[in-house]
Amino acid sequence: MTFLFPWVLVGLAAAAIPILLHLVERRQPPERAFPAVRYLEDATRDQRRRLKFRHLLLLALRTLLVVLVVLAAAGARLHRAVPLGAHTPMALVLILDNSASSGAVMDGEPTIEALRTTARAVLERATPSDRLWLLLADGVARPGTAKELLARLETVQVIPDRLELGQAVRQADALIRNAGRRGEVVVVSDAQRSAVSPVEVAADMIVLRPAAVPPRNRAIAVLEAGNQPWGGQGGRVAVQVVAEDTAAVAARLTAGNSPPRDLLLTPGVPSTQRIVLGTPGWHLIEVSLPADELRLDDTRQVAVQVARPAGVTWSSRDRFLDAALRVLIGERRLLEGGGASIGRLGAGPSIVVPPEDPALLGALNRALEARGSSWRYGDVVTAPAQSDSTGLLPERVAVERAVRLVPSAGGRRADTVVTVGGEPWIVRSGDLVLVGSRFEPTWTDLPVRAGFVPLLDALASRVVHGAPALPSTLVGGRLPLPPRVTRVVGAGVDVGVEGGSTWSPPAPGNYWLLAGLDTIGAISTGIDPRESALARATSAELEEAWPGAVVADLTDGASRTFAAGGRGDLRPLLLLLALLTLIGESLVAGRIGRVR
Amino acid sequence: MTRPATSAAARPVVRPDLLAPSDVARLGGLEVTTQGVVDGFLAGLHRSPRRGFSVEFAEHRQYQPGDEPRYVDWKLLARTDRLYVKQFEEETNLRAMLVVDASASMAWRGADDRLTKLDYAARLMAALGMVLLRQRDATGLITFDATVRQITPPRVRRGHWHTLARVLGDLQPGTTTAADIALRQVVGALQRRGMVIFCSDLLMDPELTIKALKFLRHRGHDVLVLHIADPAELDLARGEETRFRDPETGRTVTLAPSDWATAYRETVDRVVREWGGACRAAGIHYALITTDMPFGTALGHTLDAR
Repeated sequence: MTFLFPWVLVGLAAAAIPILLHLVERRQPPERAFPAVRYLEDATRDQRRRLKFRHLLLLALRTLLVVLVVLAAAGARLHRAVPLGAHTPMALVLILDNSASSGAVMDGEPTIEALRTTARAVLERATPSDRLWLLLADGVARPGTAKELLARLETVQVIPDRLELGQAVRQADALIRNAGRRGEVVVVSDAQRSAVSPVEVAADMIVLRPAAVPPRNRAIAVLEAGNQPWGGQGGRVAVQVVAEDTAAVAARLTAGNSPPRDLLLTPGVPSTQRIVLGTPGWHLIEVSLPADELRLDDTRQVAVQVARPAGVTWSSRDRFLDAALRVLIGERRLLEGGGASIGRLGAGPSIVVPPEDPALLGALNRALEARGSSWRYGDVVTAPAQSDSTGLLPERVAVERAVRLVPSAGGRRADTVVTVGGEPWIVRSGDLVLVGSRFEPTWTDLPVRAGFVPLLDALASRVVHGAPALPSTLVGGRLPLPPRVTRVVGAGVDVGVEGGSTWSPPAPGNYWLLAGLDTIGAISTGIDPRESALARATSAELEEAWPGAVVADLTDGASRTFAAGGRGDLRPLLLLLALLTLIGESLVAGRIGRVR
Repeated sequence: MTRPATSAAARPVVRPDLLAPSDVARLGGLEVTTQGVVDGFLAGLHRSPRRGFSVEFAEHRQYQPGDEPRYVDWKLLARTDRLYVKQFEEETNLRAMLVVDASASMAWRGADDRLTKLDYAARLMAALGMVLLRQRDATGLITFDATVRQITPPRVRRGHWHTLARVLGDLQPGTTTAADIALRQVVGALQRRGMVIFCSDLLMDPELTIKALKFLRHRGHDVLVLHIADPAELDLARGEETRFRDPETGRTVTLAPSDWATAYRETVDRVVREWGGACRAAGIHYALITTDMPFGTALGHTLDAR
């Protein structure tokens, strides 16, 4: 036992006061002659022993009362939790998992409601001296009093974001460390196995999670339309569903104004569907599953632009380029002959590679400058390097030789399409695309990699059709908007935006990017596929990921919070005992005849 | 300015027997005031259907040497020329013995405006003695505390009351109480069947006392127990905690009267019931007399008990 104010213990000497008063009181009564003392003795004889006991009990109660009050005033504490004992002021970060998975219906109501109830119980145990934060799936730690956070708690809704619990726990631990007092991280979550990552936590930690088995869930994990724009002959979409079992799942595919198509998809197995959308323009493709306990992942959309294939010209001496373009022409992705020049700078849209002879770089740069390019070629770099992964070139390619791309007047970093070692390797400037290496194996192994043909397809389409903006992201992720975008419309959203700024899709669905009245792109989003995997981490897995964490059930775990450090403030308990002692003293004193 | 004259007829008749005992005591000494009390009492008695103690009957006995000449019936001598004495009058009247407790506990009063139990008992016994003697009942007196203090044999002669009154007036409180010893002395004082009036606060051993009283009853005496109590002994005055000391034994009890008044009253009632029950069972008359009771009323209770 420790004391906040040990000097107050001097007051324990006051415990002798009742005893002294007791003794003094015995001598004080005035004496009076009274012949019928024998009657007094008779009247009190029966109760004399009981009264003597009560008198001693009264003395004990009064002494105990003084001791209890003094101990409470001294701030007595135990090094462990005590019943009714208020905890010492501490810091607590409550991580409430309102990620997409908490929208899954469990026992007739969304999981978030059960989580909210437990979170409420945790906050109700807080005292005004505690420092509190509420950390939600959006990653924002909200400080506040218990009252404020309780009010905030009532407005918490499921958001389609993913909550990486390990990251949240690390963030909470840092908050507690900076708070300068003992603290506790309380995780109230459905404890998805996919959201748990190992973290070393200094603060005490309690994980409160549902004990019930999570519901079965099926989700559309993938819906991709490949390179765009599509030609009149249509294109292919890749669809993949995930589920806890391998039973085939019925799905419905809707493409533009075409009649819906029923699909039978095997979980975990990608399915490619050919779709013909003859009308040039923008089309919306949607795949949906029958409703289950988690609705957020039952539907997925993707936008597709349909346009005529671009006509291109190239030099047949470039063997690898020739082979790749002929594949694309065979696939009707491109047409032979036309305004776009591939491999050299032409009069129209061009994909430019550096000349074999470095001496010709000057002439090329002058030509580029004449075309108004904001980029030019610089020094030759021969140090081997690898490309950085991008959406256009997911696989990393080796670059043995390159010519550095240097921005000239108006050149921006945002023009970069692919980088090598962080340096621009493929950049776009208007209807020009500059590539840092020639499409030859002595410069780069890109021509012999599988990604070469799709990259050419994308680059050709981009320079010819003005590069449709088709960024892909997960809900909550921030995307840079194309410079010309003025509005974003879709999924219940219609907001004006500033081109070039970043924007975050608030919910799964498709958002059209408008420049005035023209649609110049689309953003298709869905929830993180990992949120669809509702399987929960076991207690052992949680304890292994977060050593020292206490894992408890949602329904009764709140009572274990605020025990960080195990220090129990005995004052409420002592004052309660003092009150009970006072009541007992009053009862005994009321009954006693104070007979000696 | 003159006070309006008050005629004797309009003046209310003051009966000292119905005055408060303390008021009677203020009127004068025991011998002075008892006369008034008894006169008042007897005056009231004449107006009542109450009868006297004794039943008068006469008997002559032939004179024997040693008999007092004053008891010789001279008229009978003149007619019959024989000497007879009127001994029959004295011997056929009641012989009464007043037994008065003069222990320390009797010298107590619960309030300054009341008589001590001893003073009250002395005056009551003096009045009773006067009543008895006026009826020509031989009356004696025994005072006692731990031992027998004084024995005044029963007499009926003129002036005997003054002897009793002097003894009662000079009575001083003694120490502890041993009534059984005094009561057994009565047997020697009352050779023939008579009346014993035992006046005490009964703060004594009940078993021994009842046994002694039963013994007297067994000897054929009428026994009357007058239980003298101060009102403050019957009802404990409410108040703060007090240390109560028994003047006889020195034993003490400390308690808060406010907390114990009810229990004490119940105990006193029980004690009174036990005394009354024990006396009735033995054919003994019992009366509870409180010291705030007018002497006339007390005498009335005594007669009722008789």
